[in-house]
Amino acid sequence: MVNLPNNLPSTVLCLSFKIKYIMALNRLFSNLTIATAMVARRNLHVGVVHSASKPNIEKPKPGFGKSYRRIVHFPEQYTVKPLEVTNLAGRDPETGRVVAKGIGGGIKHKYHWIDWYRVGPTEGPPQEEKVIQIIEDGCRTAHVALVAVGDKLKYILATENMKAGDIIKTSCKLPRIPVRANEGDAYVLGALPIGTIVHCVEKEPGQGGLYIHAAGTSGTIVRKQDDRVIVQMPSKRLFSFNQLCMAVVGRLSNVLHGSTPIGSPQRNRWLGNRPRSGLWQRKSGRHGRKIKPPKPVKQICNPTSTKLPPIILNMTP
Amino acid sequence: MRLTQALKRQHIDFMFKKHWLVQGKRIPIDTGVEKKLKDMGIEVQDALEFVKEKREEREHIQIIGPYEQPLPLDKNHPNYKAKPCLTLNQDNVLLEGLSQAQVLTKTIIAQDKLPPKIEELSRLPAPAAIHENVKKAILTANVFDCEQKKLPKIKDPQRPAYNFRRILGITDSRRNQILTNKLLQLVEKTSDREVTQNKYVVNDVECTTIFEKEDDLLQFQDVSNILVTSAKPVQHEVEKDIPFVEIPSLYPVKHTITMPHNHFYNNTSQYPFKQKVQVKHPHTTWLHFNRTEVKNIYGEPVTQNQILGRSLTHAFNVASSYAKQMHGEDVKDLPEPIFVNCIQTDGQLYHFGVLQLNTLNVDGNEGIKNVWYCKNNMKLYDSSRYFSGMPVLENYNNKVYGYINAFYNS
Repeated sequence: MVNLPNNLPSTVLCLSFKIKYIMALNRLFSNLTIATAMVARRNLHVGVVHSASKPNIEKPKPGFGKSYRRIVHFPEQYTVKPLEVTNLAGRDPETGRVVAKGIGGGIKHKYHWIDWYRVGPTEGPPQEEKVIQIIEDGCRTAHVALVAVGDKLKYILATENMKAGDIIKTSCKLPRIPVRANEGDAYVLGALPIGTIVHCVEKEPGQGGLYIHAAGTSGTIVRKQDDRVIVQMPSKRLFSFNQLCMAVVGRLSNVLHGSTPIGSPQRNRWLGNRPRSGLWQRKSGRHGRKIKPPKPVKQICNPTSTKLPPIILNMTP
Repeated sequence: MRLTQALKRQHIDFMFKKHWLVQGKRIPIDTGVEKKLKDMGIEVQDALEFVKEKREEREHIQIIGPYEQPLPLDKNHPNYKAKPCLTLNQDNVLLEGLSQAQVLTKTIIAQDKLPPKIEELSRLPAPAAIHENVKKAILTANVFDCEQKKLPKIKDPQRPAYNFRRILGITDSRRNQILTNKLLQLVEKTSDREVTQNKYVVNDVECTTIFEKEDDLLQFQDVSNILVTSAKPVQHEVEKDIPFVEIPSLYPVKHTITMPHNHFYNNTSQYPFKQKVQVKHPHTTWLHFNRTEVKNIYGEPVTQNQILGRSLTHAFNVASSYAKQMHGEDVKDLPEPIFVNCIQTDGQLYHFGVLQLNTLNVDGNEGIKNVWYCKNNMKLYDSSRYFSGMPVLENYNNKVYGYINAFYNS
């Protein structure tokens, strides 16, 4: 008989009691036929191990920037050549199971690899770059601008009034007096005056533009506190950023995207959305707009400590 | 029916099922011991990593196999050179087109002005029979050829999801090849004996020029679809008082943009003819623009400016490789200007140009510059295809033949 230690949680103690009860029954019926003993032993195991036909599969959930729509095959070096893409149709690449409903089909678009890092000089005049062409990208709602500086070509998100031949500036300098910025220029948040419309804001300095990418969206610099800058997001929520985070001035291109209806179910299929039914239940009270008090200003920073990886104890060797 | 009752129903076996899953994944609490030991200098290793078997390093045996494989293009390749050379191929186009080509080759442009001799010759009217033959040549190239290859897919931007029927027909490279060969043949038939006897017509020859500009090693590697060479070098009279288009400033873009780095190149230029051949002086070079082969790195269609820049770099390539063969690899300012005629065509549009190569010293914007006389966008015909089952040629322009003839006879 296994001696279980006393300080285990109650659920385990219940289990130990059940085991003892079943073992007692087992001894009682031991002189009877083998079949009963087998039944008793099967009863012992059924609450403990899953049957082989229904193993426990952990499927990931879509969200937090991960939508199971496509995989882009990124090469090692940054390139301006449109990249090959594999469509996932809502399936998780590891398990192969459907994780996100309603995704699939549609026109396959090549991916334009956007350079999210607007790097500029920390001293001296800003770096000037020339916009060559504005391209419509099938993989995002905003338009993409092909930009040339020196020897290099790169893609960036195009702003509302950007056109071919424009000169845009980038500077990582934090000056004493705020800069009067033009659309498409990239400066640190601390360098921009209050009320500036921005997009493509970095989470931490040097990590690349992460927030506000959708067509026609923009954030507004609301106030500055010590070394943090508070920006109002398109969802009207207030986020507090480090003042050295880069942001691009202006509103994103393709402004009418949000107000154009899709128009037909077939056009929705071209966009890669499968028909969805049973998505919204009127009576359950879960769907619909909620009215809640506004959330406090959220400090945006990288997590300081990460949890250690879990130790997996399972029956497989 | 509300599912709440069925969903929230409790059953002890639900707990039993979940229990093993929950207890099977324990997240350890970080006590900070590892960090402290590391600060003290004691090495901390994961137990599972320590237990793993280490792979022993084995010597790699070189097995040749059924045949010698081509050497991989890395640092050990015999042609590898540490300093990269920026190469412009015939498939590559410059980003800024004509302006960038101007900066690269230090050229000023005389827009819409060809040398007076060519203009005079082009005004000579050709008999109607010749124009009939030209029309026949266009139809032969576009309609009467029997090649059936898959042409590029047709896409309508208004209907992005619609797949059009795949068309089989004559590829643009073959069409251009047939058309230019037939046109040249016509011109040769109607020219004088002295002119044709002293000219060679060669198809598909490669010229390579390698030169330095402001610490960058540049290389032009082009295939001349037709190169007409002559026994005597081309001479043109230079007109005075031409409003030239000066070398533009490409700021903030550098003049070497869209020229990919290449570590495998030869240090010498190459001209397709040997020194001792009599008829080796380049006269006219024909360049084909095949939309299926010539593409931008970033996938967008090639613009008009980029096509014109291509003809300038090609003419410079032919002229400078010839100059380097004549005067040596390191020649800078030429004793006499070299003239090369260049015609670029995509079958329909013809761009004529004459390059006057004065110097191979392309650093900076001052000093002697090369001159490019050009006349662009001459349409030979509007369309040539089958229309209601009949072969049709629309809007033939008879001036273009005059220029082609003038270029051959100049």
